[in-house]
This record gives sequence, C-alpha cells and structure tokens, in this order.
Amino acid sequence: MNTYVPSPPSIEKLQLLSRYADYLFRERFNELVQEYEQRFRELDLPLSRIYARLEEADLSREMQRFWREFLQGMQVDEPSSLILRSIERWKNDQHPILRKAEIEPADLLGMSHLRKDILLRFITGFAHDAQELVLLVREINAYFNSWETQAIDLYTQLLREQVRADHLLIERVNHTIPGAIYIFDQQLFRNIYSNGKLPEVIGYSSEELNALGETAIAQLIHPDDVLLVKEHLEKNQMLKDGEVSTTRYRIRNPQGIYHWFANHVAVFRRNENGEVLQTIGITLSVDEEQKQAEASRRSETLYRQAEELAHIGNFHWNPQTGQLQWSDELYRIFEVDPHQTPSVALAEMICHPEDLKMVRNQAERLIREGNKVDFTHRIITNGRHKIVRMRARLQPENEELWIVGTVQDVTEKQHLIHKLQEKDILHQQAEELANMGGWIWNLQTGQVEWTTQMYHIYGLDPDIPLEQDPFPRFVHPDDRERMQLVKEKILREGKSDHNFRIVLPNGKIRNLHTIARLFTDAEGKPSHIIGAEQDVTEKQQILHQLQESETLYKQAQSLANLGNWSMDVKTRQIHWSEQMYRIFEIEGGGPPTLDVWLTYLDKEEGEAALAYYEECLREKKTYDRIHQIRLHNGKLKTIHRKGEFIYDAQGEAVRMIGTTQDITAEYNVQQELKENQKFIQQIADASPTILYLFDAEEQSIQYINREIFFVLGYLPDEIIGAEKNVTRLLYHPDDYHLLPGRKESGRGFNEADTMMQYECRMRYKDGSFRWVLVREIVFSTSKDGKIKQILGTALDINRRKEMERTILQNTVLLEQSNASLEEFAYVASHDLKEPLRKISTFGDRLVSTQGDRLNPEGKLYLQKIVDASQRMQTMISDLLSISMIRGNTAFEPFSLQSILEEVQQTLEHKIEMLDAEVITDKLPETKVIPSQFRQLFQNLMSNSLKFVKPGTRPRLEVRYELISPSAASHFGMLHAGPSHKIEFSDNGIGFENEFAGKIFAIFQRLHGRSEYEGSGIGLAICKKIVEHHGGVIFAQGIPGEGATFTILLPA
Amino acid sequence: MKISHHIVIVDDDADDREIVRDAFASLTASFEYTFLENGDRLIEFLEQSGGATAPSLILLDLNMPGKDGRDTLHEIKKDERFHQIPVVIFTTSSSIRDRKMAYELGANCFVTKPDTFNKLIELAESIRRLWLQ
Repeated sequence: MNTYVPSPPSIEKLQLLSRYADYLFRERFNELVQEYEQRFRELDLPLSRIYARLEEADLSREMQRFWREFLQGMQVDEPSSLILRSIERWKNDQHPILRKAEIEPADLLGMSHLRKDILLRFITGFAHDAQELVLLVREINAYFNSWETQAIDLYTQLLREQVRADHLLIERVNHTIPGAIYIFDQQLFRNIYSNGKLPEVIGYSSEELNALGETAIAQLIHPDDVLLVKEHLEKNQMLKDGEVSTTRYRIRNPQGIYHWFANHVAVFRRNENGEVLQTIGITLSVDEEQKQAEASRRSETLYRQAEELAHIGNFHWNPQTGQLQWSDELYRIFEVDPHQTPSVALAEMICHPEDLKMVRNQAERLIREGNKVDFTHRIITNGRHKIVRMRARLQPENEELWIVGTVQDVTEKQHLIHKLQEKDILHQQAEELANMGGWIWNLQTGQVEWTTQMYHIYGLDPDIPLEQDPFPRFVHPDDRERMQLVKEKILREGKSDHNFRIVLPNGKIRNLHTIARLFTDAEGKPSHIIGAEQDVTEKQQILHQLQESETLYKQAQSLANLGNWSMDVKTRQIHWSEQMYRIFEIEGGGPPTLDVWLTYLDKEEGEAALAYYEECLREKKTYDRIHQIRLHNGKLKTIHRKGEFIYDAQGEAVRMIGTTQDITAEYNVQQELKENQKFIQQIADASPTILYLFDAEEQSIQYINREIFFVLGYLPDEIIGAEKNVTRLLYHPDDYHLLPGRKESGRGFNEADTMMQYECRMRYKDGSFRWVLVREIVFSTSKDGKIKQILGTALDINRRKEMERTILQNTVLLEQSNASLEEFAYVASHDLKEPLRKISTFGDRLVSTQGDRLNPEGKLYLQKIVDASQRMQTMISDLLSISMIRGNTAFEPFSLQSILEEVQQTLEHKIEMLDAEVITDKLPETKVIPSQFRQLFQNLMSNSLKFVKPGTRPRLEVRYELISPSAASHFGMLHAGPSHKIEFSDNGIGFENEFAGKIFAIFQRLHGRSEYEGSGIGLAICKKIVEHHGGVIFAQGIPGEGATFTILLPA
Repeated sequence: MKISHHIVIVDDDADDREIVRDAFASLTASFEYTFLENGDRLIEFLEQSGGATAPSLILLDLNMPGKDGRDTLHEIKKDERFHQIPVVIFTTSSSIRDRKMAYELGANCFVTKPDTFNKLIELAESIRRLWLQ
C-alpha cells in the first residue's frame, strides 16, 4: 500500500523499461499503435467523447504521436521528467486535443490502465527470463503509479482552483450586497456565518453578538421592540420554504444610539423532521427611510394642527349655582368680548335658535343621567354661522355638581368633512381626524381632565377618575425625558406640537400626536395647558409600510435587473418601467396590452401563460412564472414574471402590479449545471472504476456507480441499502486496517487533503474476494475538521494480482529448482566422483605395484578401466560446471578485450605450436561474469585450434560489430536495444550445416574420440554461458573450409 | 638426529587413510601417523595430547559422519592452543564454494584428492616440503 505524498516520487532511471521502449519503437510500433487504437475505441471513457469528434486519420496520427513521444522519451529522458513534461503540458493546457478542464479522474485511471496494459501485452517478446520479466513489470508499474499519482494530484489541484474561484465569486457577491448577511442557528442561538458586514451595518461583529447570546435582545434591542423581536424569532421557526419574514426594529449601537433596521429572514436549513435549524437573514439599515417616514408624518400633523387645534375652548359650569367659567379660547370661538362674564345666558344667546332646544335637552340629560355628552350645534357670532362641537361631562366637586366640557370650533372641519365625504376614499381619513382626545392640565392644582376620546385612546374606562398626572404612567420610557423638554417648551413658548409614544395597559404602544397650548391667568401666570391628542399609530404604520415597500422595491429593481409593470385588468393596458424596456431591448412603445405582450412568447407558451393568468385572476392568487421570450431582434431570453392583483372594495381585481426579472444568465447557468450533473452522473456510470461517496459520519455509502455490479456483482442499491454494514459487507476483514475513516479500522487521513492509495480485497457477491486498487480523498469536512465524506475509486486489479502471484510463484519454483539442481551437482561432484576416484587410484596402484605380474593384455585392460573412470570424472566435472553457470554471480562491466587477450595468453603455447594466425578486432566493454566469459572464449578458441585442417596454416579470426535490434532479430535475438555481435571463425575442418544446432548439445560429438580429444561438452558450456548473459550463439560450418561461431549479446 | 613428524589423518574412508599413509610413507622422511574417523575423535585427541605434543600436521577430510571437517576446522582454528597446527583440507570436493569456505575458516591448504597414486605422492611431497620442515 502506498501513501501518496504530494511531492513527485523520484523514479530512478528505469533501465529495462527504457530498453523495452526502444524495442517497442523499433520492432513493434505499428502493431502497438494499432492495438492501442482498437482498445481505445472499445474503452468508454469521458474523453472518448472528445476523441470521437476527431477524424479517424487524426485519431491515428494523435495516437502515433503519443506513442512515438512516449517511447522515444523513455529512452532519452529520466522517467520522472517524462512524467513531469506530460503533466506540465496538461497543466499549461498544451495538449493538442484535450482541453485542461475536459480531463476527468476516470480518464486518468482508464488511460493509465490501458497504456500499461498495452505495454504489458508486448512484454513477452522482449524479456527473456522470469527475472527480467518481473523487473520490467515492476518498472512499468512504477512508471504508471508515479504518473497516475501526479496526474490525480494535478486534477485535484485543478478542482481546488475551481472551487476557489467559485468561493471568490460568492465572497464578491457578499461584499456587493449592502446589508449584513448571516446564517443564524436557531438551536445554538448564534450566527454561524456572516459576510463580515455586521460591524459596518449594526456596529457589532458576529462574534460579539454570539458572545451576548440571548441577552443580546435585552441589551441591544429597543425596549419597545423587544416583544416584536421575540415574536419575530418565534415566527422564524414556523417559516415555510421560500417565505421571507420581515421585521423592523431598533438596535442600539455601541455609542448608545438607536437605529432602525429591517431584517429579512428565510429558512436556510431544516432537520429531517422539517423543523427549522438555520435561517439566513439580511439586515439593512433603514434609518433614512424611517426619518423620511417621520418627516412626512410630521407634515401631516402640522396640517391637522393648523386646522384644528387652535379652536378648542373649555368651560366649567355649575348648573345649580349657575357659576360658569370660560377659557380664553372659548371667548375667541364665541367671538365675545373677553371682559364679559361668562354666563349660560350669553352662551344661549350665541347659540343658533334652531339648536337651542337640542342643546338644553343635552344639558338636562347630562344632569339627569350623569352621562357624557358629545354633540355639535350651530352658533351665530357676529352674524356668522359657526359649528361647534360640545363635549361635556359631570364632575362632582366638593359635593357640588359641576359640568366640565370643551367647545371646539369645527366649522371648517365640518366643511372639510362634507367635502371629503364626497370623495369616498378620504372618507375614512376624515372620520379619523375627528377622533381626537382633549385634555386640560391645571398647572396650579396639577389636576388633569380628559375627554372621553382620551380615555378611548389610552384604553381606559372613562368612569374611573384619573390620578393627578396620568401621563408619566403611560408615556413610553424613552420619551419621558423628551416630554419633560416639551413641557418646558410649552411653558417657555406657550405652545408645542409634538409626537410621543404611550404604552397601553395591555402593553401595546401607540403613537400620539399632540398639540398643546399654554394658558395664563389674569395675572399672566401660567394657569393651565390644554392639549389635543390624536392616535397616529396606524397612520404611521401605513406610511411606514408604504415607505418600506417603496424602498425595497427600488433596491430590488436596481440590484436584480428587475423591471416593473402594471396592468389594468379590464382594459389589459400595460404600463412599463424603464427597466422593462431595457429587458425587452426596445426604445419605446412596448406592449400596450396583454395580448401584444403575449406575442413575445411562442404560440404554445403564450396560450399557457394566458390560461395561467386567467387562473390567477379567478383564484385570486399571485402570478409567478418563468417564460422564454423571443425579442424583436431575435434574441432569446428567460424572464421571471411575478404579479399581484389589486382589488377594489368589492373584491374585484382592478389592477395587476408586477415585476419582471431577466434571469437569462441565471437560467443558462442553471441549465448548464443540470447538464453537468447529468454528465457527471453518466461518466460515473460509464466509468470502468467503481466510484463511491462514503459518509464517514453515517459510516455508509451514499453513492456508488453501476460499475460495482460488473466488478463485484452487487447492485448500487444493495450497497447503499447496506448502510452501516457496508464496510463489513464489502471488505476483507484482514484489510480493514487499510481503510481510512472507517469505524472498523481506526485509520485516518494523514492530512485532510491527502490522497490515500491502497490495494485491498473486496468481497464478490458469491463470497470470494477480488483485489482492487483504491484511491480515496476527503470530499468534505465538517467545521471542526472532522471528515464528513470520502470520495473513492476502486479499480479491479484482480487479473494483475493473479498475474503477479503467478510470476511470484514461478520465481519461487524456479529458485527452488535451481537450489535443488545445485544440491544435486554438489552431491554428484562429491559422492559420484568418490568411487571413480577409488577405481582410478587403486587401478593406478595396481599398475605400479603389481604391474610386473600382469601380462600385457591384463595391463591394457586395467589401463582401460583407469582411463574410463578418469574420463567419467571429467564428464562429471564438466556437467557440474555447466550447472554452475547461473544465478548468483554478479554481472559487472568488464572489458571483453582484456578477457580475449588473457585467453590468447593461456593458449599461447598451443598457438605457437600450431603456428596459428590469430586476427582480432577490438572488443567492447559490457556487463558480464568475467570468469564465464573467460571460459567461453577459451572454449571457442580451443575448439578452433583443435579442429585444424591438416596441411593448412590454422587461421583464427575474432570479429566484432554493434548491430541494431532489427539486424539482431534476424538471428533470433529479440532484444529492443542494440547488440554486440562477436564472431569466432576458423579455416578448420568445418562441419555440415545440418549439425549446426546439434553441436551445442551436451556430450554431442561430431567426431570420434580417437580423432579429437574432449568430452563433447565444451560447446554446451558456451551455449549455456551465452544464454545466461541474455544472448544467443549459433554456428555455421562448411565441411573442409571452416566454422564460424557467432555470439550476440545485449549491449 | 632425524626429526620425526607427527601427522594426523582424519578421514572416515579407511581406503583413503591407507593410501595417504602409503603416499607419505613412500617419501624419504619418516613420519608418525595417527588415524582418526571424524572430527569428534580429532578434538578428543587434541584435548588429551594438550599443547605439548601437538601434531605437526592435520589432514582433514570435509564430509564425514559425526563432526564434519567444517565444524572441526572452525573449532581448531578458533582455539588458541591448536590454531597454529597446519591443517590441510583433503577432500573429494573440487567445489569453489568449499574451497572458499575452508580458507575462510582458516585452513592452511585445500587439496582435492587426486585420482592417481602418483599424483598423490607428488602432493605428499609438496606438503612435506611446505609444512613439515
């Protein structure tokens, strides 16, 4: 098992592979490319799609190019730089056919697998023995392992870059949004993400807020808004998908100042029970907006004040004593001389004669029933008609019964009311206007008197007397200080016009608009303040909402390429905003009607859209559709159209107001994404490797492609369905320890981004095991760095493993057989020679001690016995030396020239005796076992010197040349590199060519022992030696003319 | 006075013991001989004789039942009392491996048993010249 380390593994020069590459290039190139091309076509890899676009000839050319470069490169370069170059080319997007981003992991593994396979296919033609075979297979494996490792590494790196780019985009989007975006965990009650704008927007960082936890509400939220915020939080837990909950409230910044914020919240994540786990929110500062709202409200009330408040007077009347007091304002309303003493008579005098009876009745009813009265009547002052509103009630005072009341000049208001009543829409407003409460605050006694309406506004029972100063109890804590200032202002300036808030007994907050005026007594000392209050809560809310929607709408439009439109339901006339023209890319005009708009859609969609519109109209629901439109310039666009109906009082839809958003880009991206997903899915299914996603938390496989069926016989659903048991189902128990992130193994990833590679056994459905090569990377981690998902591939390497095992077995067998052969040879050399030596020695002794007593025949026989036993000893020695030519001795670079010279010296005596002519080329240096080559050369040269032709001067030539692989192959030398060719030729007796093969056999003799000495094993030894060096030897002879022995050795 | 040399011949093969003795006997010098069958006997013999009456030469066969020549050689050559006694390995084996092993263990000479008596006499004479003067 290998653990992948990011730095490229160094592969030393792959000697054998380099030679093999040369062999393939020179000998098998066309065959190899053809095979590769055929196999490639059968392969179903992602990149096959790209290659399928090529012309056949181009494809062939490309494959030839690849192999040419690969095979040549392998001879010239370090493998590691060859790999590096191929990877660099990919990284720099210089591949002639493939784009950088088109390469998938399946391609890398698949191509590597295929190339390796192709290389392995031709191996037997090259390698000569098991050792070389094993070595070459190992080198090929080493090369491709290294290549795969680096390729996958690069691929991961590219993926990571892409993710980084996406991440950057999201970051940028985050920063362009004007608000603070955050993700809030409902259970942890903290923000788990924010775009970093919280400090800028509200003045606190996400961490600071999280540190406050739930106390943040009490500490930072305006007391009036606390309830609202709590409701908001509760409501967020009930949110439906796609629903946005919006709240506005005030947050105190670190400087202690409250600012208004709008908070829009939607669901981000749910648990499996559908409960909301996390919400995503955006907080926008709406202070400006709020100020605008207040400003407009102020102007509203200013108008009202001007109209009304100056015209309230009050009176204090004891019906029993007839005592009557008037306020100054009443003099003004009644337009009587302020020096006149107020009296009922005076009041009755002013009263319109037609209303006098009614007024008296009201007064009597008030005295009789103790109820409050509230009525209007006409008065005539200075010949002018006025309408006044009279409100009065009984008030016991020191066992006397007093009537207190106010008189309000409502002449103008009445006019207004009449006018307003004509206009239906304003009718309601007019009524509201009349709804005012009045009060008198006696500065000397501290007594406060209220009108009934005041009680209504404050939510109190009018029958319960007021305490001395009821205001402090009601005024909103935050406004108390300001109210003190207002009071001082009234005392200073004589009047005030202000807003403030009260908290009702039921906890509700009302906004009140008050106009107050200071009255002085005769001495000019402030005596009392009279005020009128109006509940403007709803008014404010309406305004507020209006402002809010206006702002949001503007924001949305500018941000989101959003146009808006409205349509008259009856006439189907459409009005467009400017943005709409931009979306539809026209200068002006636009669709005057719905029907014209529909022509932007194709016929079928147009009909569907119309039907949908009518359905919305009928069922009073929101119009929300995505349409494909064709612009007049032929361009296709995707738009998102949303619309709401506006209904009249009768509930009839009159207008439709809506937005249209150009989502062409988003739509295209979405389509592309869908396509990509499908594409990835198909690749995964088509991939010849098993691909899976392992969930480390659940300990189960979440996804697995169909390849599992072909490799292990399971259907993907069986694997996914195995859940927690999947590891035990699929893997060999002895291999559990290899698997990272599995409960069964306890093995982890070294680093989160390491790729793990290991070979392990997986269980086939029938219970047998198969070898697979597994690569795994961490696909996702949780925030605390724990591995969540592991992405893995498993490649079926069972065949390779079996082959490796077979080779290993053969090697072991071979070693065993060699060992036993050696054992045999040793025994033979010792034990077999022992009796022979005895025969020889004692025979010899017999001859020397008893020789005299034997007759000549007996001596001859004895001599024959001795000779035969000695010959047999020689043969045994020779056999032994043949068997010794193998194995353990190391090959070393050695000069063949020096060996040749040495042998010549050894044979010098014989050469001189025969007067033989020896001509030699200079021999090269090469890797040999020197002792064996000494024997080889000696045997060959002795041979030539032995089989000399009588009567001819012996001539011996040693020729050398370096030959190409193709030339060597003519001699049956299947070697990819060049070869040394050494020829020993003589002019001796030669031999019939039909015996050329036979002469290398052990104990094979072409001549009788009597003619030429020797055991007949010399050439057998030569053959063994040459073959042990990976070469070939063969002989050619012409009887009577000479013989040539040719040796070919891999250079 | 003629110095009498003491040669110990260790060989499980009685024939060989005799032939070797004959070969040495044919030389002009006179020798004292001790014949032993294997390494165990040799070690016993050396222990008894102590350092004082150490033999002049040991001819040691390699392949013997009981303690073989290899172990015996090893023991003699690492024992300070005996390691100076020349040991000639006298064996049927002509294997390079055995030869190398013997020299590594400290053998003074490695001789393959010759297959004629004459050669054996020549060998005995060489040994005498080299080790017994």
